[in-house]
This record gives sequence, structure tokens and C-alpha cells, in this order.
Amino acid sequence: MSAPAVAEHDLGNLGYPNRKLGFWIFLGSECMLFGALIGAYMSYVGKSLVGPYPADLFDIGITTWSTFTLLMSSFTMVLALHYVRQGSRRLGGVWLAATALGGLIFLGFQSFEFTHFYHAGLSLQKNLFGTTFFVLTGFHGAHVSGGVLWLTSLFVMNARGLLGPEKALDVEICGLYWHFVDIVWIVLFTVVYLLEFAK
Amino acid sequence: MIEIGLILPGSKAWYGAKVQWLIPMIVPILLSLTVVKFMAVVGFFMHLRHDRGGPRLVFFAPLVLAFLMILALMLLYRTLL
Repeated sequence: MSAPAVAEHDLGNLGYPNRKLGFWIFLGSECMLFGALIGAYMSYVGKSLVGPYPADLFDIGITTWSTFTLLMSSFTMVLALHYVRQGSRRLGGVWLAATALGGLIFLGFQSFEFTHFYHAGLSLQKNLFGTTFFVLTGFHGAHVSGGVLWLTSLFVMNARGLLGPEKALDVEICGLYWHFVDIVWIVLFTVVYLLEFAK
Repeated sequence: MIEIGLILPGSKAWYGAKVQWLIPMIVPILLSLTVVKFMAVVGFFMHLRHDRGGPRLVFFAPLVLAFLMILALMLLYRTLL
């Protein structure tokens, strides 16, 4: 996909949209936030003194499905941006809704997983695994929730005819956020689930 | 795939051997796909391939810093390394 054309008033002194550059700086700070949380999780892997332990709880099948849903929503986000740029209100709306739905399904899987783990005896206070796991994946889930709200607001704007090619940068910035949430989950799925599965 | 081997009795042993061969490969394959997906999303979906200079720096510098921080913590706490 080629780089998008932006309105002249959106461009800053660097010849790059100010809002987009500001958002990249925000995403950079988010990298540090998740780096700290992942670092804390990795520091305490296998150091819980009491159960339940990851091996007792993880269901790699369910998590793989939720991961698949989230990764596919990244693709629908690309389609949403494409059709908003083209000025197709109907298809732009369809793919924005599909992306939000993908996020909601992922959150449903996460809620199910959290509930299942809680009933199996894992809580924030139970052991090091519980503390680091819930904080790490909970923060990510909060980010997905924020993304779903953002997408929903764009969907409503689109339905009211307030989102056209001239507003494509709004959708692109939301897309940057959504793709970031997607790649954070790729890393979390690897370090939390796959490495446990590999043992 | 194990279930397929049970449904098709004649090929059970063949599938069993195939699964045994695959099990140690699953994680490296998934890890490789993870790296490919990560690069595809950052480079193409997020358009960083087209954005030179500033945006690349403000994203990749903290990303590398975060990675080094995770590595340092893992070394400090002697986990997985």
C-alpha cells in the first residue's frame, strides 16, 4: 500500500503530518510501557512458590483462536482504511464494524480465560504468575477495549457521513493504534503462551 | 492430526510418525511466523516502509530500548537464559 496523500494543512515542518508524528511518539512510549510489563513477567517466570502454575491453566487452542481473530482484524483495518480513502461509505463502515467485532471477540475470549483462571484459583494476589499475568494481559485487554471504542466512534462518524477521504488520516491513526495492539499481542502470545508450550 | 490418524486406521502409523516429527518443530515455526508477522505489520500495515527518518526513529528507538530492558531483566533474574 502506498503512503497516503494528506491535506497540506496537516503537514508539519518535517513534511510529515504532525498528528501522525505525535502518535508515533505515543506508540514509542507504549513500547516502553509494555517492555516494562513484559520484563516483569519474564523476570518472574517459573518463580511462583504456590500454584496454580501456567501449565495447569493454559489452553493453547483457545488462545490460538483468539489470536487468530485479533490478527485477522488487523487485515480488516487495512481494508477499512482503503475504502475510507476511496470514499466508499458503505464498505468503509462494513470493515470498521468488522474490525471492532474482531476486537470484541478477542475480549470475549479474554474474559472467558480470566474467569476460568479465577475459578481455577488464580488471582492477582495468589502468586507471582497471577500478578504478572493478569497485569500484563489485562493492560493489553484495556488497550483493545480502547481500540474498540475508537473504532465504534469512527463507525458512527462514518454512518453520519462525517468520515470521507479528507478524514482518512483519522482512520489511519486509529489503524496505527490497532496494528500496534496487534503486534503487542503477537509478542505476548509468544512470551506468555508459546514459550510455556515449548517447555 | 492425531484424530485423523485414528479415523483412517491404515494411515495411523504414518500420521503418528508425522506428528512426532512435527512436535519439536511447532514452536520454532510459530516463532518464525511471529517475526514475519511482526515485520509485515510494522513495515507494511503501519506504512513504516514508506516513512523514513523521524517516524522510524521515534518508534524503533523505544522498541529497541524496551527489548534491551527485557533482556537485561531476564539476565538479572536469570530466567530462561
